[in-house]
Amino acid sequence: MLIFYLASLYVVVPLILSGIFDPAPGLFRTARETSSDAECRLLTGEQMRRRLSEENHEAFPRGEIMNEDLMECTGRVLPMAERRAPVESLLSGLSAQIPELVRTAKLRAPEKTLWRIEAFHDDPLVAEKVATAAKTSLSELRDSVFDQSPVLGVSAVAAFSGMKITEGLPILCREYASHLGQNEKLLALFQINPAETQLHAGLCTHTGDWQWLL
Amino acid sequence: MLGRNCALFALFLATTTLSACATVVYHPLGAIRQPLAIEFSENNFKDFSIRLICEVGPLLTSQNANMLCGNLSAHFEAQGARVFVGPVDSGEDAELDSPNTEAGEASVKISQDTFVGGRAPAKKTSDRNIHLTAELSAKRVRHEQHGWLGILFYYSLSLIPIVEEFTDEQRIIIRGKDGIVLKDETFQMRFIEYTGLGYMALNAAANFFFRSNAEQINEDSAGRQMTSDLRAQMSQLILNAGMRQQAILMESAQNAGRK
Repeated sequence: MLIFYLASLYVVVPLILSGIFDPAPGLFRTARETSSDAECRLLTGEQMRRRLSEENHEAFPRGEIMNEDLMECTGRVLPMAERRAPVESLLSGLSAQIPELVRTAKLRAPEKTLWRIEAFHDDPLVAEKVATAAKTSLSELRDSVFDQSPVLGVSAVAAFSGMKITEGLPILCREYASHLGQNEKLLALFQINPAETQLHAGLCTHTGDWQWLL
Repeated sequence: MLGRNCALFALFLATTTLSACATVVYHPLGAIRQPLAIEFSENNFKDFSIRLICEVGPLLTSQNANMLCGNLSAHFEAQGARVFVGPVDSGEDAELDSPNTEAGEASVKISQDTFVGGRAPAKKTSDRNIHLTAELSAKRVRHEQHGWLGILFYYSLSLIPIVEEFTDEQRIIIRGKDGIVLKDETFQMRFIEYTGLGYMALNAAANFFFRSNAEQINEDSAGRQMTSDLRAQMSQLILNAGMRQQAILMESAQNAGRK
């Protein structure tokens, strides 16, 4: 009986304590499952109180004596391996990056500017997603955005394709200029290095002036 | 009476010995496991001069800071960067800015007393290279220990483990050559330490039957995985900061041209 009791202690207790619901790797979860299923972060003090009030969580009448910290885990919409890592890293950061770049662009342009958006990326689908995110962000700020960007001649595109993007964009801007109206600006979004996970932006005006947005 | 005391002492001795059976689990939180676009290559940081400053604090002793900076320095040098460790001194400053210095020529100087605090990076610049200063600091944001498990641990001869949790934060600030902050990122890591024979036995069984070699949890896996995650994220941050610096340089050059 004692042996049975000890044996069950060996098995049951650590299993329970390792936390069936704990998102950490352990007896129930491998490290790979942990990072592909959910993204967790620790909320402490003020962050936790803010989050609980957002969710209309009522404070305990005698205070939060036991619950001092909160682990917040968000399930991933797409599993980690669904998209290539460089694409995933860029797209997962879009919601944070695009509004910031759009705000910076708006600071450099007059109020009634009509916007055209052009995104550059090796993968046309990714470029389209980036451009759509920028168009949405501008629309949310009640700005007018053209759905399509100007179509350049074959010679301009061919010349551009042999250049570094940082050297080519100011030249390409001169080509775009003839397609832009007086109150139109082209917002270009691109990566300088394909191994980075951030976007850079530049503005092109109807006079062919290229401005870096930082 | 004597026999009972002896038994209790033996129990205490046995349990104390078993308390060495600790299994540490590493749980990466938030951004430290975000996907990366950078791949390890000798040319990733070909034109980069990087200064690493590991700040000594309650969590990072000077020995740990030395180890961390030394480890990162070797990692970046293997990718083609010129790396300096510690705050700026005038001799290194000149070397850092010399356009003729080949990558890899620079010596890595590690000194325990140079890690305290951080100063503004080099003022003199050469436009050919990307000059970055990375400041690393760490702090413990959470430590939780379930005291009642300690009692059960002793009475169960360590079948019931003691569970202790730590959550640490690693802050990385990367500055450009004029001291402008290009990146400021904080990574969180959680460590759960299970002490006791019960958990150790189950973990050993799980390692043997279910986990691949890369996923095994053993005595040094937590530290190894955390270091690997941190190095990978640092590489990505350095590259992103470098490209941002390049954009700033191009804008400055354009503005200078207009004037």
